[in-house]
Amino acid sequence: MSALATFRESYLWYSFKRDKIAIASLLVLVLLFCSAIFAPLIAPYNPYDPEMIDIMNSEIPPAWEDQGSREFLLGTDSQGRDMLSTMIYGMRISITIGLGAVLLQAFLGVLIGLFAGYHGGRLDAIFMRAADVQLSFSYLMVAIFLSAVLQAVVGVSRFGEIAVPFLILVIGFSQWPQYARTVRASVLAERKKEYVEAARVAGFTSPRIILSQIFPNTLSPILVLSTIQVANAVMSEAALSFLGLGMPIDRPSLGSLINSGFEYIFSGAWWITILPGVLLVVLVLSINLLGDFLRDVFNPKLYKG
Amino acid sequence: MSSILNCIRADDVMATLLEVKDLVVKFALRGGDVTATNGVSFDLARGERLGLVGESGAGKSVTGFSIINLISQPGYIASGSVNFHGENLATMSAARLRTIRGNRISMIFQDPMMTLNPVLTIGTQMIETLMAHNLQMCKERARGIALEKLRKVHIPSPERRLEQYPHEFSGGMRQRIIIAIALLTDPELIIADEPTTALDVTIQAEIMDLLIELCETEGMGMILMLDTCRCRSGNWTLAVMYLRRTGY
Repeated sequence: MSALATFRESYLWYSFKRDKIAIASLLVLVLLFCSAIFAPLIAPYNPYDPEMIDIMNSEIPPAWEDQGSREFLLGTDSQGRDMLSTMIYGMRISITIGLGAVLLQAFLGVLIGLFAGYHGGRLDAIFMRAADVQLSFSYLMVAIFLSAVLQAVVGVSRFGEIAVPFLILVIGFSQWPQYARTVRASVLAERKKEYVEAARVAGFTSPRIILSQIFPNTLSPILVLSTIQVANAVMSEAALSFLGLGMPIDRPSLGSLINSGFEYIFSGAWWITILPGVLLVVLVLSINLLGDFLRDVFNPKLYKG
Repeated sequence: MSSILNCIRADDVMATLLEVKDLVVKFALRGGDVTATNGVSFDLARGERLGLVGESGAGKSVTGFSIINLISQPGYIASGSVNFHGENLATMSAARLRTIRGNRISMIFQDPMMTLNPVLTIGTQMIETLMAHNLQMCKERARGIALEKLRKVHIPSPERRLEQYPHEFSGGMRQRIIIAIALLTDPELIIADEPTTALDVTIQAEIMDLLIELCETEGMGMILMLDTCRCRSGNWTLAVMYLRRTGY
């Protein structure tokens, strides 16, 4: 049987077809991801190209407003950049940071959770206390501290160049305990099962038991957690950028766009801050709704009323 | 030193496969040590079948696990020896032990519902087992061996079955698959810990017949642990375990 045929008979596909919210959020998500990936082809202007920015075009409202222009569908910001293009490029950066941070979190957290849960004892105690300590203070505090130090060391202008990997590292390292705890909890349940004993009797080494026998059994909570964590990471990035600690304004993410328009909201130029805000909400909401759907599918015991 | 020499001589003369001598297994608990087996002894020649019969709690399973030196914490082998081809498994290094465990000695468990990994196809599990013991093994060859063993335990259309998950099999079929997995590495000894207890009576008979048939065709030794004597056929040596000791 081919993989496609197996998928079409699966419970996942069956419940997906019947869940309108899941279908809608997947469609929205695919649309947003595609426009982020193909941003250079889709966006009408290149917001990184100073040649295309004219300060005379600044603060033009969206096309449907009275003073709006056909040239700039969603208006322009205070520098005269086309909002639509800037938002598409901004979302591209937000998604890159979100996915990168989650990959890092998942890699660290899953590995630590698997080995700590399986071996128990001192190793387990050390890593889980480290996780407790890390969760006990806010990641924002750490991020503010680190980015202040980094900006002082490399200078504000160079900080812009290394902002993306910096944000991935900060958000990735701050959230690994989420994965470690989830994975450890399922490993504790799995390692007492007889198939693990059977694998040990069959002469498997313990890394092999952990990776080839136990790991596949912990995949469904990992998958559900990942969707929620991507949404969280995008939000964290937006929060940091809004505070001025993330992406610089010449390469804005959604958070720094919201921040840049914030000063103009009372002077009537609401679109600079509201439109990226709406895009951020739609992006995070559709990821979260899809995560909810996955959680319901993988845990049929949770009935919705 | 003299005991090793004795064993080698015995190996030549009687082809002794396994010799368990005065095995004492204890569990270190907070209130002091609890003795699980207290002086278990038996010999097994090549291709010989031994039935280890005893009531529940007599120490059969602990004996089985201590033969492959895999008693879970806080259990430990307090004294006695388990000689496999004259080598004492009780004092062997972990790496050397792994080349014997699951390779030259296989084990079959009581409950076939639990011993297969629920999220992997049986093909994956069989191939994984083969590759764990032989790093040079390629996937195609492992698949071939898996198919051959499934045929040996009379699984119909094994090519299709290899792609299926454990929940798609009945209890009797699963126990056959577990036996096939135990056979993968052509072991010299199979330890079967109440392999039929979780099955219904007609399937029990089928599985027993299959085990005896396999032992005869493959020339394997077998230690079978049961709570009742109900074997109908085959040549058996019988040891009775009672109050943590063996007697013939």
